[in-house]
Amino acid sequence: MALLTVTKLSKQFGGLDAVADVDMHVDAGELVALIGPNGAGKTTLFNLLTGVTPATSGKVTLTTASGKVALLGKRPSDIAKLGLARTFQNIRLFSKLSVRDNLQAAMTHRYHENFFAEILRLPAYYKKEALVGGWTDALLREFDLTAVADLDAGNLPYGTQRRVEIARAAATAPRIIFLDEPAAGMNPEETAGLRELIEKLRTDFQLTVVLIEHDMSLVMNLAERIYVLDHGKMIAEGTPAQIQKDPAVIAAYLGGGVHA
Amino acid sequence: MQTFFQQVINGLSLGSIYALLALGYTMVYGIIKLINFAHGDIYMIGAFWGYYVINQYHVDFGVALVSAMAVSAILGMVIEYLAYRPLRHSPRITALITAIGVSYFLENGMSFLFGANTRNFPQVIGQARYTFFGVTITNIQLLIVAVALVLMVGLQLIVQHTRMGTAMRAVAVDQEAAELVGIDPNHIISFTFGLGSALAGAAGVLIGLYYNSIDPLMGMVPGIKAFVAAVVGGIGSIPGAAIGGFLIGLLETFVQAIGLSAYKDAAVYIVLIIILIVLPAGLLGKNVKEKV
Repeated sequence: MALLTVTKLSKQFGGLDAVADVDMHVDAGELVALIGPNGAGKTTLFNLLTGVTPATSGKVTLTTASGKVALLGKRPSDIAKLGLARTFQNIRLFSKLSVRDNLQAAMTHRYHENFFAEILRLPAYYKKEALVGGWTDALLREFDLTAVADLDAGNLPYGTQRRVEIARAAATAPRIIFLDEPAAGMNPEETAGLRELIEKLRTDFQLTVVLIEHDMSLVMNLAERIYVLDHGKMIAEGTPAQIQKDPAVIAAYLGGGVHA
Repeated sequence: MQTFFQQVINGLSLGSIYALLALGYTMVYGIIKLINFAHGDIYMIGAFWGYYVINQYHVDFGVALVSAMAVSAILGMVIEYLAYRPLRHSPRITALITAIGVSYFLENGMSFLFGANTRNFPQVIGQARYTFFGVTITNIQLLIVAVALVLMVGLQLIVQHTRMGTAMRAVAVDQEAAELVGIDPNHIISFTFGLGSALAGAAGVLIGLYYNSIDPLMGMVPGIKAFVAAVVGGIGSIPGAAIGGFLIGLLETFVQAIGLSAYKDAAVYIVLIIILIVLPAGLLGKNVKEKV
């Protein structure tokens, strides 16, 4: 069953078709990869889906417990509340906040906010605090961040920051998590750790994962289905084995005129 | 030496007022990078509200202070909603000019509706003087410093130890990323204006009590001085604004004490110029490098 359906989605920047008539679907529990040469429009597509950039035309539908919801035109914070979470190609943590606060900032929509209960320290505050504290501790354990929980996120090593960013996305209790080049700038050891982490998102957190990645061994090993984007157009879709043999994909990566 | 300590007491009292105002500037700047030039006028409205409820309903100081804070907070949020929110995605200069417009609107609106004359602020608290080793301190001065310190500690607790505060700090670092983890920025920005304006309202009532006189233009000069205080402390930094406020208050008092009363405002602006040249990020501000 399709969790997310994208129909004829387009985005024009001036005269440039950054994303043109893209159709795709993501089923619940799937791990889908989105690949393509630099400048193909992958990040733009993520921006359209998460509401950062308004689309020119098209339709995006999310299946929720209460039926189908159209996402286009909604604000990013509302889309996040509906269950779409993401990370960024260049890490965008709340650098001056501790790791714990980074995670808790991402949980604000998961409980009822009552500022006066909070400053007056009413019983409702302690109840909520126990709940949020429990969620946070569990996430810190799952992502192996307990030791750095009280350090400022901006001061952590690169690989750890990536982990915090994925944990922060998971803290919003999403249905789908979009990872934008999570392995960029990682050494092989860190990439292996990342792979385990992505597996964990699916098994332990029951998340659907959409992955943009240039590390092909990671993509081919993890993804069940792959979409290939080139010059804003979806040029191929299929299993890793199919994609590796697809002439259009090979042409896109190696340049036109190459016959496989 | 006595004169010195006497001036320190006077400077700290005045500095408390500037610090309360500077906090509002710095918080709003930290969140939406806007210098809210209407902030000094919210302080004026706070003072007028205190004047009104004390004269009309004969409430005591505590009620006047708390209700002025509530009214100012609501006013701040309404101004944000009507004047700044529609300009959220406009160039920064547009919002800045609008802030100046809002400031003139409040000043002249108050003059138009209630008259531009100076009023005597009702003295709800009988003045008492205490003298220690030749240094005189009034109960009003003690009250100003105490209220300011309590509010500053309260603010720090809200920002550092509540969920709203965490969300505020998150939005200040990266608004777009905050939206993408489900934080509604409008909610947070409105809350920030409310907090800052409540502090300005409190400062208005305190200054009424201290100087005994209020008028619709009373917010102009203190507003600008508090802005200087925020810049001196490092705009965007909450402890910086508090320190900057006390420094500006002390500076102004000392310039006056050495017989240069006529130059007290000039001294504050000279400090602004020097800080901008020597230490553009302010005392506690971080020097953020623009990413290339």
